Amino acid sequence: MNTTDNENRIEPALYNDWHVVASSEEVVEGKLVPSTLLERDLVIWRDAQGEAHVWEDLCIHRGARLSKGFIANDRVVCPYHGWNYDGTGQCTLIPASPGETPMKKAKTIVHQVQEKYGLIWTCLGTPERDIPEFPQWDDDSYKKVVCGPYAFKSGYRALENFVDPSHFPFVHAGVNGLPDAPDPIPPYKVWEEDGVLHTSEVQVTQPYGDPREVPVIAYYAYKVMRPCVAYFKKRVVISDPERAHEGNDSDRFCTFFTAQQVDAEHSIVRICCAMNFDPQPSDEAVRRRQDLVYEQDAAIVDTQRPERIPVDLRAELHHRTDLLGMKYRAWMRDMGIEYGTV
Amino acid sequence: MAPSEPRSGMFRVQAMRLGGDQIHLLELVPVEPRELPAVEPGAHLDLQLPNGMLRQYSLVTPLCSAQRYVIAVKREALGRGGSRWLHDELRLGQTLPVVACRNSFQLQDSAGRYLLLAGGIGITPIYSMYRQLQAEGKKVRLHYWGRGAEGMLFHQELQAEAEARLYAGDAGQKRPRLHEVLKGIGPDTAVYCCGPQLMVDELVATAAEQGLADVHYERFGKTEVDTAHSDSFELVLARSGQRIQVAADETMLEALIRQDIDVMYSCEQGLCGACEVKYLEGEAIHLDSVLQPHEHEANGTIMLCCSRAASKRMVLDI
Repeated sequence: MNTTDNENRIEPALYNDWHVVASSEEVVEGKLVPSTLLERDLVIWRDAQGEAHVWEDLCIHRGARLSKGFIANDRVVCPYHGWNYDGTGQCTLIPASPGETPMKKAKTIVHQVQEKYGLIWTCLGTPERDIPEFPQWDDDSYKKVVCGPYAFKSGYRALENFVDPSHFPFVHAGVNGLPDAPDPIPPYKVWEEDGVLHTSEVQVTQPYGDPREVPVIAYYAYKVMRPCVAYFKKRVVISDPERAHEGNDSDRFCTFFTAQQVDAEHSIVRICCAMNFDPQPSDEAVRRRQDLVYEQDAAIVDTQRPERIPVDLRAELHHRTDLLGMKYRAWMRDMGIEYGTV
Repeated sequence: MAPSEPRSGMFRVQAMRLGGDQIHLLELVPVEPRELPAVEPGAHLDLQLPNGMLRQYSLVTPLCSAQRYVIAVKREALGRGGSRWLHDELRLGQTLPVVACRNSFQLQDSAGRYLLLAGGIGITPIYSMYRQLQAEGKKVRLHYWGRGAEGMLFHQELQAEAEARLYAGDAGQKRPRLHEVLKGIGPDTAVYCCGPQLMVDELVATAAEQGLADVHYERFGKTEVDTAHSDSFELVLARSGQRIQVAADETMLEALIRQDIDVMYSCEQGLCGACEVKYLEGEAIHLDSVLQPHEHEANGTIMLCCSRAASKRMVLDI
């Protein structure tokens, strides 16, 4: 993989969009973190004020990878000739000529950054819209846990899997569904509003439906907000009458899903779970469950062929229970998304 | 947009009753309450099953009313799957599209006497005729062949009737052949028969031998897909102005593909929803099982792969 200006190869709908490149936790002060987005090699770091930065992983001087260097005095130091870059990306010191103010052009390629929902987002082009909303993030009655990173092949296939309730009994047997008694998926509605795909609630049985480890009847309402960002809000009702008192009508489990497209056939999924039930599970319990579920997902989703998702509905066989997946593909096709699709 | 033609539409399974061994009586009521037109003996429903099959089932017209249709379905283990699906998969409360309610086996009001012949589940239209003719005070005689009383719909009820002869094939019972019961009937007798292929073949041969003219029959297990409800119509593509004629025996999707129009589709059976498009003008007959007709009406959409226009012209927003 190399860093090239791929602006002309990647359609504006992706190029001018916000993408997750790391979780906040992955980027600690004093450490250079390499990351790749849409085949562009990036370096991410956090300065002494706690601000995150996303740059091309490229020294303007001789093209070495900055991520192989180190941070000293809140400056990124290139591993090759020791050029120093400050938080604005400006070179402040060329050690071979220490008394001189470096040229104005001695500046790394800096990308726009936002830190939101425990994730670090960047935009390679000019943002055309803001990062999608995650209403529970600012709601203190919800506990939030960021999970991942999870490696997948196609980010779109991973997203489509995230919004597909009919795989639960098989891929997550005994966890999110019963293989011997798979839930028929009743008809649900999908509609587009303000550029976002929404569904009505889809009902499924989950023998081990949330981190409390109680069987629940779950009602999923999905949103697909961007080609690589989706969300569900799950209403959960404890199905065992003996344990029903442990639940509450307002119990919700939400997941904000992001996929970082490393390239057209590799992606990194990071999610943020939000839940408001009482007692709240520990972060470890939430992660343990998500790690299991996403590992089970990747084991199957990564076997799908073609690796790139077909946005032409004629290419695969769909069923009405896949309605959201179909609408997702058609929506991307209408958006002109070609990168990572066939 | 005007509703679909009144006899078609979505129906809900309101009740299921056991009519005999392997025979289900299904009571179907319209999802959107409305008065059903009167039905006459011999009428049948074209049911679109969710697995894509289109199947015809005769109505038990004495049990039908302005609120409901009743059909009898015998589970044919070796059939093409329609009756197996209706027995094994269909559940109470489920909805099914009724494509049409038609009558191609009508009673003609000319004869002085009527001879009714039924084989197996062929009793369904014949029973309907029998009751109707009795109510009209006509001279009628019924012969009904089956394999065991428990597998014969209305066996108990008909057994008590003086004008009905039931042949259950019980040990010791002498079962007349069809040609034997036709012996000696006069030209003033109309013959109506519904049964399996071999029975109908025997009727046709005997009728020819005896020079009988007033003979009507329907065989069950017919395989042809009925296209009587589908007329040719014109599609207009609003965005290009292109006009495409959809033949009676092709779908809108097939017509569009024939003209190289780039449209999405997947299952081609009305089960997936990939081919949903908006339409701007025309009356639709919705035959898919993805959305209810009222949902289509609300969205202004139609599925290209299976649904049709009731109007001569339909304008699609493509």
